[in-house]
Amino acid sequence: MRYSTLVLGILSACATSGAVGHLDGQDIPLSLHGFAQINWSVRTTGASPEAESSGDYLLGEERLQLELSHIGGDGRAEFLSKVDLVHDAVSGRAAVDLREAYVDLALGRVGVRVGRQVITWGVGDLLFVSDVFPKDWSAFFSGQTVEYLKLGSDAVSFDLRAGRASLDVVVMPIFRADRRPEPDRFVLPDPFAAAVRDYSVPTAELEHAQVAARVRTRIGGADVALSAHRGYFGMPSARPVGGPDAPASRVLESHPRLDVFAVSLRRPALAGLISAEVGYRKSRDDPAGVDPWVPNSEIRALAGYQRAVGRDGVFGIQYYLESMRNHDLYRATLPEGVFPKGRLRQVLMSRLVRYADYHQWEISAVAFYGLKDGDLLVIPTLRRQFSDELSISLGANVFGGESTTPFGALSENDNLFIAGRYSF
Amino acid sequence: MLRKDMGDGLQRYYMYFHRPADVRGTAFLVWAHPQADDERWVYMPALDLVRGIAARDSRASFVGSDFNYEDISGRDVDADEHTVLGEESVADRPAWKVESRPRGDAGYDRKIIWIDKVTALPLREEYYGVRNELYRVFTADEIRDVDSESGTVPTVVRRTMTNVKSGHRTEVTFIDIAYDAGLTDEVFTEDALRRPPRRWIR
Repeated sequence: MRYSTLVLGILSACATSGAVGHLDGQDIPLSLHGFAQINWSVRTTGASPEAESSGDYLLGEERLQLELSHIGGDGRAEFLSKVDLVHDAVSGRAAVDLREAYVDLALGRVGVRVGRQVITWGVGDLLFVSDVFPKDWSAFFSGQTVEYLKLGSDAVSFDLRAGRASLDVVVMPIFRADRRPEPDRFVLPDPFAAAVRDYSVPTAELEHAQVAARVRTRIGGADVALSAHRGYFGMPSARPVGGPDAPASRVLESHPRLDVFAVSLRRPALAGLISAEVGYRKSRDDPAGVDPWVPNSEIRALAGYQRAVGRDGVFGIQYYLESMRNHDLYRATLPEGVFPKGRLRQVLMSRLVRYADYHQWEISAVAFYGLKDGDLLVIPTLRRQFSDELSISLGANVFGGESTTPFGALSENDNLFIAGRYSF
Repeated sequence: MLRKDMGDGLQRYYMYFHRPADVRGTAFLVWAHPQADDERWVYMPALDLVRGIAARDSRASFVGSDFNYEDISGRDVDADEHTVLGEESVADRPAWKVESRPRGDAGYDRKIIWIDKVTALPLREEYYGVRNELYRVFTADEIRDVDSESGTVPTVVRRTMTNVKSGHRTEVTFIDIAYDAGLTDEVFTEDALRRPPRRWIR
């Protein structure tokens, strides 16, 4: 029988108190934590990508994460770095991946964090409206643990508390693009497969800095946030060089400019928790929507509900919508032979989690279903926690739909994955 | 764990996990409302993600332990109907024996509580199901006087919840306790989940 003990340090205080906490004046020496992890993923469809070296394997990596941190200055200053040493058995290469590295200062009501940091905004579950920070969809679709969906932003972030509201400002001087599934690992339909690709990212000049700001507060028992962002699309857009009618032998991929304005809300209701988020994404390089090679402006919205089920379960459901602003113009300017996107993309997402045996077992299923287009992604996962340190997860990514829908385009990449982690 | 009593039964909790290593840095925030559903948030450091936790089902296990969320953040005294059954000592401490029956939906059909006559702390709780079977037992294993600005406060420093059917139990030990620690309201906010108040959380 497993015997578990929770050891808690407690500090309690009455509202009338004014005494000084007794931990003042202590610095925490350098601490080292992290994990060792193996993470393999095998494609079950038998299809092979362009680069045949990867064969049936989407992932075959051994990873050591070292997290160094230090808290000093009476707890007002903190340093943290997370460095991953990765060996990729598929490519045979080893790499150093700087996941995060920042200094953090608490200056009264203002907090400042400088360096590479992971930032997540919004109330969606794996669906993003106001969150413009870099993501690694390649990691997500190949069965890496979910934290690898987010990439660190190279940023200076400020948070300021003023009464009941908080203001967050993030300045990202150096652009970091989303990572998408690439043909070296994934089997992908690509209209420009035979083309020579040039790739350009916003250069590291001050005028190319991205800025995001958000105000958070509570209104009537709800967490409410208003946000604005000026920057670039995280995903690149491909444009044939030589005009839309030239043969697509050469394409330029770049990141068009993007503004995002969003509002989100989350509050307890209906015996659970409801959330909603609406955003307008203004495509600044093509506000009129007449350039077929630049994404049109669109509205994105989501509404979600989650509740506990019994003693050891969670159920969540979300409805997500993308609505293109100038769909008629988009259709009118789209060149022959390019499959047109619909005006609306609607997705239902559900999450079911069930724990057993004191969370030593976790079984979960995440499903995305495209209404009308039949786009589908199902991610069943089984996780076993063998001890406080050691866990193993088994799971699958199952894609469905047409080659013209986001998940359907990956349908040759159904995969089974395993991740074993020892944390220290 | 940090707790602040806000008055009128309103309590706020901040819980930070130093160990085990796979959840290190995870933090919980609870706003316990005596008359309404509690509000709960969890912070996952690897994603820098603050998520709400669906609140109504207070029977949900707290981090996979034998304790429920309700055992951690407390249950509204008016949610049950109480009857004093008599007096009975628990480990030589004189106590009131009280039966509580939930007015609404709850995880139990009735519970018997032994309340210390001196400190008013619960010494033992027995939870019974619909078939009158005992399935869960809470015990206050150690009570210690802890100094505060207004004198000593009797405090349960070790407590156990036992699942009678399986024999599985969870023991909570409070090893470093201070009252009147000067906790500010800012400690119990989303900002503090992202940036732990290092004056108290080390």
